[in-house]
Amino acid sequence: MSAVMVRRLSTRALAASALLLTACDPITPTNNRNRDFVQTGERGTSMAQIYNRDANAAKFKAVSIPTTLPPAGLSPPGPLPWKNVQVLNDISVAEFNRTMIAFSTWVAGTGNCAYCHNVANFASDTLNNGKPIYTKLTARRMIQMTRHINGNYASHVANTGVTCYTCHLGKPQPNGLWFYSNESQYLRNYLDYTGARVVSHTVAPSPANRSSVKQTENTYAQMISMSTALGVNCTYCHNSRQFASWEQSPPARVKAYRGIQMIRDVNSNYVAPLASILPAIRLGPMGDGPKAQCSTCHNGVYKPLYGAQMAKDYPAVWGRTEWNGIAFPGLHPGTDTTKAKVASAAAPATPIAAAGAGSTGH
Amino acid sequence: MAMLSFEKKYRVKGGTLIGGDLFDFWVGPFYVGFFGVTAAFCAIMGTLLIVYGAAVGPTSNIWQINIAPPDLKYGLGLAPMNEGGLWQFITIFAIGAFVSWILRQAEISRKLGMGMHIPWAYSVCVFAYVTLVVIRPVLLGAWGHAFPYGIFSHLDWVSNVGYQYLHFHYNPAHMVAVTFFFTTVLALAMHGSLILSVTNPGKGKIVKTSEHENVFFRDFLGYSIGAIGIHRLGLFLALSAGIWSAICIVLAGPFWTKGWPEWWGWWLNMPIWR
Amino acid sequence: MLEYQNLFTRVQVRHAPDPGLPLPAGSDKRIGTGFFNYWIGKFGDAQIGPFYLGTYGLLSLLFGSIAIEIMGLNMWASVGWDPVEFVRRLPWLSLEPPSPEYGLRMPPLAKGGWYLLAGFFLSLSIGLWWLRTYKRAKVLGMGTHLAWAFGSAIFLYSTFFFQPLLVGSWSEMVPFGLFPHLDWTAAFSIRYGNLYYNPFHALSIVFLYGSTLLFAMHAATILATSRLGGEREIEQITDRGTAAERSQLFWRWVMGFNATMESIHRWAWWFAVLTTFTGGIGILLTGTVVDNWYLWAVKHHVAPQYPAANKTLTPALLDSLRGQYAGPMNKGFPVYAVPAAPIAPAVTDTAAMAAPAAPDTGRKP
Repeated sequence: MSAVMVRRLSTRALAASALLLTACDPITPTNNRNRDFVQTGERGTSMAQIYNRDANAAKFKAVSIPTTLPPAGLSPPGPLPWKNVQVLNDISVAEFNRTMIAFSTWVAGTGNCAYCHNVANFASDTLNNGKPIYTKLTARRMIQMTRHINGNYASHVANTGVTCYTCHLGKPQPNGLWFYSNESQYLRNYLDYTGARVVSHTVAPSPANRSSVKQTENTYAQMISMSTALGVNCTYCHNSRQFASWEQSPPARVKAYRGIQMIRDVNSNYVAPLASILPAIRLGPMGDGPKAQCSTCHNGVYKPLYGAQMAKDYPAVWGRTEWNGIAFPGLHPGTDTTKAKVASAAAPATPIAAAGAGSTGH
Repeated sequence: MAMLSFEKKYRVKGGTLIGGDLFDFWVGPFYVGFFGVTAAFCAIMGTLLIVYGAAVGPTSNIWQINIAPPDLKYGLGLAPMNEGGLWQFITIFAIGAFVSWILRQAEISRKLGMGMHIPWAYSVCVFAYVTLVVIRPVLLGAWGHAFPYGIFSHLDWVSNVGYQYLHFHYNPAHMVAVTFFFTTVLALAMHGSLILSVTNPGKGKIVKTSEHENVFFRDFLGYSIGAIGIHRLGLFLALSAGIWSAICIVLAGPFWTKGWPEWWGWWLNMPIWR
Repeated sequence: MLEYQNLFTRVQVRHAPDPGLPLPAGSDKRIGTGFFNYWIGKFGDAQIGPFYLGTYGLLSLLFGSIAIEIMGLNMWASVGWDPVEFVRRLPWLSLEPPSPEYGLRMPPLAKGGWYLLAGFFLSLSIGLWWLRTYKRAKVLGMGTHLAWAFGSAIFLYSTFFFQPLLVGSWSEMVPFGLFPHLDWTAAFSIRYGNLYYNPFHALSIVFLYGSTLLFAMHAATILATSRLGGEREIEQITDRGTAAERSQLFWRWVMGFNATMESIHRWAWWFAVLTTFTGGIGILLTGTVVDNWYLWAVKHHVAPQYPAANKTLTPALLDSLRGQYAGPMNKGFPVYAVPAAPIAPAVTDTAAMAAPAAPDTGRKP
């Protein structure tokens, strides 16, 4: 056998074994049965999460949390010295500066102020050549969104909350952004489709439930994407014997539903309307803006960043009057920043409902 | 004495594996044998335990009775009786009964001068059961992974195991097993039909021959597998269905933990077309 | 195991291929004279062919080929006629039924029309094949049991047409495609409340597993008595020999009752036929009579009850969890209103906020 043939055969064998490895994830005596199980239901129902311990450990190690900045110190007296502050006009100077540094770390690289600002004129929303700085306009809306999530969706984000880092992970573009296409129709449950329920609540057919098998496939596809986004399987939230039953679904399902309501709100009112200010390179093939989904925050883990609590150290993104008993340090103590007034730029846009038969509520 | 007209001459001594003449007798139409005794004992004990489980449970409705394995937290140990221990004892008796049944079939085959095909075939069936309640749970580290004993509750287990992998239909071994199941039904329908059509040709017609069997299938499909061939094929299909079922469930968990649709990534990402 | 198990044929006898019994006048000529294959002969009969095409066979294959062509070409079109992508994505490709908005009306070709055409030709092909099974038996003077067994399978096939008809939407039909038809299976079960609780689904599975068990039992029995000529079933039926006697006694001694060499084939026929027949009934009842099989089972007291998985549900909470049925899918994509004015920097003069300096936040780190 010639040397060339041997090499080709061994390469093929290597490729084949590599394929086999990707197609196989066995327990072996050496990996000591590296499966972890978390039971989520009654015994005998086989409701359990299956984790490959080594893969999980590797995933955990890959997550890094930026060091928390030291708390804001004393601030000079008087109002904020800067112009054109439309959202963050309820915190102290020191907190403001601190927040800006954090923003840069979370989205664009520490100290990379130029990503959002005209460094010749920080207050301006345009570059020196007159073009609007879409990143700054976007960021303003994003801050409102973050406060909105933390303030109004404690039912999902609890006392962990979100910061820019939760989605952006230090990069300008979060993971999991999606755009309109025929293939992504199932993700519209995270946007404008407010009906995803397909299982009837009655034994006999009724006009109330006109869901089709096709629509069920859509809901199923969305559920699979949610499972993958959280690194869990269907039994984390459901007893598959009756997906629709809340009594038979573990409590996680309630939390997940709040998450769906949250992401619909976030996409419809904050993220998708950004299309009007984003450059073409940031838009989808049909010219629509980006939209988020569960994986944008969760990134394959049941809790974003494995539950690391970052928001509590950054009052600027709270959207609440207090966090864990500590009052929001606004210029006006007791300021309710959930209703912070803001100029009309990038105001929430209402979606024009697409044509088509709507679903009846039940 | 519940004997068929020709049966007497076949009731001879011999063929036993254990016990010699001690249990070599019949009770009514049933042959006993040493393994008949053990099978009866295990079956009765298991059944009594099930009845006990139903009695202490919330219902006596046959469709709703549910005897569940222990929680996963008990691992491979013995659980308290009302926390899954009962299930464990029933399983031990079940395996005892099934293995006894195999060996009893072996004894009867020997006595009748038949080949051992039947006990071997039945042991594939028992192997599938043992895979579900012993082999896979041991590989995964807890008895709680096995299925509950209950008519509809065991279906809830099947459903949830399926959805643990997001879409179990994508398990390739499951696809193979299902194909073998459906092909077995097809082949059985064809074989049953053929024999009946040859021996029941219709009023006033004469019983047909094996030539007719062959001609029909050669005309119909271009090939006739023949009298011995169809039985080899049927046995192969039926046993393959059982074996691939066992393979497909052992793969799920010990050899793959993600969703099954994701497994097909190896095909989609092959270098030749990536 | 020093005895021979008769799993493979050790000695193959050759003579001229068997041309088959003569067919009545008016039949076509058979195709070919038959040839032998040694390796096939190790497992089954070595002779392959001759084949009878006939009118029904020809038309059936023709219409079947048309159906397959429609499916294949549509699949290829769906990947932009790229031959590499066609092979790569073949298991995922599909020819889909019309979307729900068309109800039972004829959709455009590209939007489900091809699907209906493919289904029509496939059904024609299957119907003609059924006629073939009937005719071939009749001309040979045999019973038509195979045709009626096939009829049960066709019944199940037809329910995948009639159930959508009764529900009022072609969109319920099964897509053509390897993985897509599996997606349909899962979605159908989810939509109708878990088909495991459909009693006819359960019955069908009983007969499916029962058929497998029966074929294993019967085939093993025949192989075990093949040393005595057990596989010559016709002879054993009409003139019971020791093979049939031992087979019967084996099962009688094992389980207390037995079939005969003929009646085992009746057991077999019924188990196989009832698999598809009960399955078909189960499909017909779904979406027409019952919309949620689990709730049906609860109503009829056959569903086991487990302790509640979520013990924190209050009526108020349940009310807030109420959602909407998905209903038919919407068309088009939402458009977000562009703000009337261009994004102009609005200057907010923070001098208006005349508050004292914010003290040290005093938060504990």
